Amino acid sequence: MLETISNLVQRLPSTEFFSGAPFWAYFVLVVIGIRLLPVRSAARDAALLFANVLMLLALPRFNGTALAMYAGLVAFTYGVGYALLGNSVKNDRARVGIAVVGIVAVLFVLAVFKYRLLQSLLVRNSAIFGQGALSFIFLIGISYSSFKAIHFIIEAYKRKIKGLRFLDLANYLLFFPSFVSGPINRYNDFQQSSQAANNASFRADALPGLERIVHGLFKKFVITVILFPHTIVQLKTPLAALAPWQIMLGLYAYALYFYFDFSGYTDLAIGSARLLGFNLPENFNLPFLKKNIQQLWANWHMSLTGWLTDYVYWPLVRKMRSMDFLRQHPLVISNVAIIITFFLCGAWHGESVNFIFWGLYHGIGIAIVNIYQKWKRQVRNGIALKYFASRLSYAVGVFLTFNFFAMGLLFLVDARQVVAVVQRFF
Amino acid sequence: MHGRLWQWFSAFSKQTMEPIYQIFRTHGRLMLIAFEVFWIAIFLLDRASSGGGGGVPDFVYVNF
Repeated sequence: MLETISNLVQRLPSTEFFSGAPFWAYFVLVVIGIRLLPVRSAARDAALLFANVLMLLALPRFNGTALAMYAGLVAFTYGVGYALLGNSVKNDRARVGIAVVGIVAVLFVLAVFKYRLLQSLLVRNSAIFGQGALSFIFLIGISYSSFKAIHFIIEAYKRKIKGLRFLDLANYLLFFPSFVSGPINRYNDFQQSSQAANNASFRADALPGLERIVHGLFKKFVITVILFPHTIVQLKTPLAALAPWQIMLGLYAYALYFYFDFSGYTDLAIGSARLLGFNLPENFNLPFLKKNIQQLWANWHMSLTGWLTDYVYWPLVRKMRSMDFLRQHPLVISNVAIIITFFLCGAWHGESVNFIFWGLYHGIGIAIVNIYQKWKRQVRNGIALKYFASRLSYAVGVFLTFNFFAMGLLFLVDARQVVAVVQRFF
Repeated sequence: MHGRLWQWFSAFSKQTMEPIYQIFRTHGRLMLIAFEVFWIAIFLLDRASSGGGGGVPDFVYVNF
């Protein structure tokens, strides 16, 4: 049955989400199908899961094997959640063990499909795949799905998952509007939204959803199209041969392009989800108008930074606070935790060393802002205090922050040329 | 002189600009949507007339 459906779907035109005409044609059919079904029922949840699977199969790089792998991820996460939320395992150490095994297994899957080196090592030594399977196996959506699965396991361990239902979990992990690039929503919010969606009228969701989709399409099909040719990656001359102002303008265009592209995607995801009756969290809140890099990151890709704050930063801070020699130095704790968090954030973005440098660059940047903020609180000079409260200080902060962010993109363009480019400035 | 100029500017902004601001306040969202739809249509038509496909880069974050 699944094979037949898969073959049928494969014959239809494949489509990247939100950018091709086939996607919108499929999407309209899905919205009609989901919203026309009678309110609140397992049938509606099952229909949503069916729609999610069909939409994923329409992705150009998604096939039956990928679907089987995701079915395994859903079943495994459900099993871990069932063990952690049920009453059969009462021993606390056993519960910790189950949660750790669950998280490590999901991280292992993420690492295998994310990092070429690990995959080639495993595949090369595998009797199952053999010598013919040496090309990289790309599992689209694994970055975001694994983060959602880890969130679910941790919250299940804390017994904060309000209701465990297989259909809700499967829909949560495979929800197509946020499958490829987020936002990373939370399970309880999704389940609550799912229940609310079953009772909400389409009329209440239609206009806000469509409005958001138009904003997203405008960003994607107009603004990024204007910006893209001027970005630094499109300049034909080698970076070291460009004048500093050319490099800066190229980086500014690239930074804006990144923002409009990704926030456009988020608009499309949020708008599409709304038409299906679901509320996804916001991902951006005018990040380039923030006065320091710490605030910029608190307002850029917010669902990811929120995830990293909850599951990496705070556990690290708590661990370090329990160490006697660090307890007296909260600033050191905070800065070490933030640098490690951004190191991991960089590693998550990609396997090359560029991303590690990029993560460390931002982590160290935020650590410097923390030190500056502490120094600022100790200043008593009247003129300085007036300046800190002025609009000029805000404008200078915004300018410096945007430049810091834009310069960081050099690591993503070509890390080897960063030194040569920096030398051009001095 | 300065005072007169200011008086003229205040009167001008009240009489002429205020109704325009009012229109923006009331219909701003609709005007923004109309503006966006117009330009989306222009860019899509341009894309279609130039053979399609070219010009719109893939989403940056899709490969993650």
